[in-house]
Amino acid sequence: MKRSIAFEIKRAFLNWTFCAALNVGLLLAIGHVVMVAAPYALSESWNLWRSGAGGTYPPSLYSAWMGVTSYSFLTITFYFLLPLLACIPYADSLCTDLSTHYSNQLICRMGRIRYFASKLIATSISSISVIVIPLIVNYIATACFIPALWPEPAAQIFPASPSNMLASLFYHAPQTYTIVFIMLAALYSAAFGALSIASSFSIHNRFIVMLTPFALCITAQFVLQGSAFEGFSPINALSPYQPYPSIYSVVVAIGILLLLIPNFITLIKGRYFEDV
Amino acid sequence: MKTPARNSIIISLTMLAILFASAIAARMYYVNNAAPPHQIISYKLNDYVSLREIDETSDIQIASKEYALFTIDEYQHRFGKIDESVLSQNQTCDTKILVLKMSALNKGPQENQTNLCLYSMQQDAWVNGVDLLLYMPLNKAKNANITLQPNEERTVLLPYNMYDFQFGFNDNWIHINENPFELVLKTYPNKVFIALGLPEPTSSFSSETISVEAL
Repeated sequence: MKRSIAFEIKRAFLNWTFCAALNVGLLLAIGHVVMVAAPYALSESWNLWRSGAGGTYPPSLYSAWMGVTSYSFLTITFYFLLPLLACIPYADSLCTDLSTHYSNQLICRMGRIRYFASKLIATSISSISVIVIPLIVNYIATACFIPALWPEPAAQIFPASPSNMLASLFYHAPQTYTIVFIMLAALYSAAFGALSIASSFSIHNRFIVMLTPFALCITAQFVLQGSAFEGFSPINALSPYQPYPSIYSVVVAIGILLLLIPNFITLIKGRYFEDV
Repeated sequence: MKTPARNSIIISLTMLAILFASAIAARMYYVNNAAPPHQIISYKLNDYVSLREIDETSDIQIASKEYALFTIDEYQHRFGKIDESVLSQNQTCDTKILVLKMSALNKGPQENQTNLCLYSMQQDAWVNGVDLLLYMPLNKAKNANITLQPNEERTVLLPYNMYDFQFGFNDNWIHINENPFELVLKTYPNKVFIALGLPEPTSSFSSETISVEAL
């Protein structure tokens, strides 16, 4: 099993689509530092705010890293493209393997369950990597420019309002809040990858397979728009700035279900897989 | 088997990574040390707080006396009818009005002005400012400023609105009376606030409005 996982991980990470997706994520993350964090820290125009003149609360790491700047188009772009970025690296690989019949050779050598399980694990790891690495890079780079001043609700510059999930955690342990949201993004990224893999059995076009989670997220966004459940749309729920109210346990439960159901379908279908 | 050349590449890359991580850690340390320390200064109910904590030239001291949370009906019963235009804004949701009794005392030798409506009420992640549309009729005031003669003390009532939608799906709204509130006077560089404790029952809240006492 270890060898088959190592083989799939090597395939997942050593390909140009992984590099392309990671570079897009890093471009957004570094671009955010250049356009938001660096000006806050260095620009003359922000000097008054930065000095805390008149009791105004200066920019803090917890109000300026990519996850919490709802006013930055780079933040919105990153979270909007998250379902797509997560699937670019390797989520279409099963579809490609099946259409080229390469899967037959691998199944002969590894066995069905090992092949499909390795595929799921490698896809999840690559999906998580392209999302989590840019977020961590942005957080660390922002911390190099802006001090980690403790968030204060009365300062009115921090994103968490009492209607947001884990708002209390944000004001009492902001680092934990950040880690929780990065983990939430990782959970959903793995789920999106697994969803693409599971859809490869019924969809035979790799681009459609890759776009399926993104299309579902956009559909959820439009269907829930304007309703009380707008905050549960994955694109909204994953954003640490939380534009709409939601419930943490429900968001996590949806993420776990989105991860487990495609994994289950893939393993069941894989168990009885016969290429014709 | 690893070749010596490969080993030296691995060692060099590891050294570079350690150096890079050290540089980042040093930079973060510098950035955080450059910011002034953030102290938390808290006062209790009935403590007189010198506004020099906020404005170095002020001779005024303020004190929070008591506070309670009212429903719209309780508020109207106690403080008089709310204007229709103001009330209509609050009719679409469940609303509570927190009323804080606050005193301002001029300890200086000259006449002084202050604005008590500048301070925010906070409970956990919830925060709101004074509703001036309620403040004016409640205190029979024309604006938010209070003028105080030397040694004069005035008491005003500060109304803060709380709406159910501000809490989304959180059940904090249901337990709103069970958590302490804070009156935040300043957030930076030091956080200065008055810890108000739990709200009093509305029945024990004395409803006198502006009173002027010469001390």
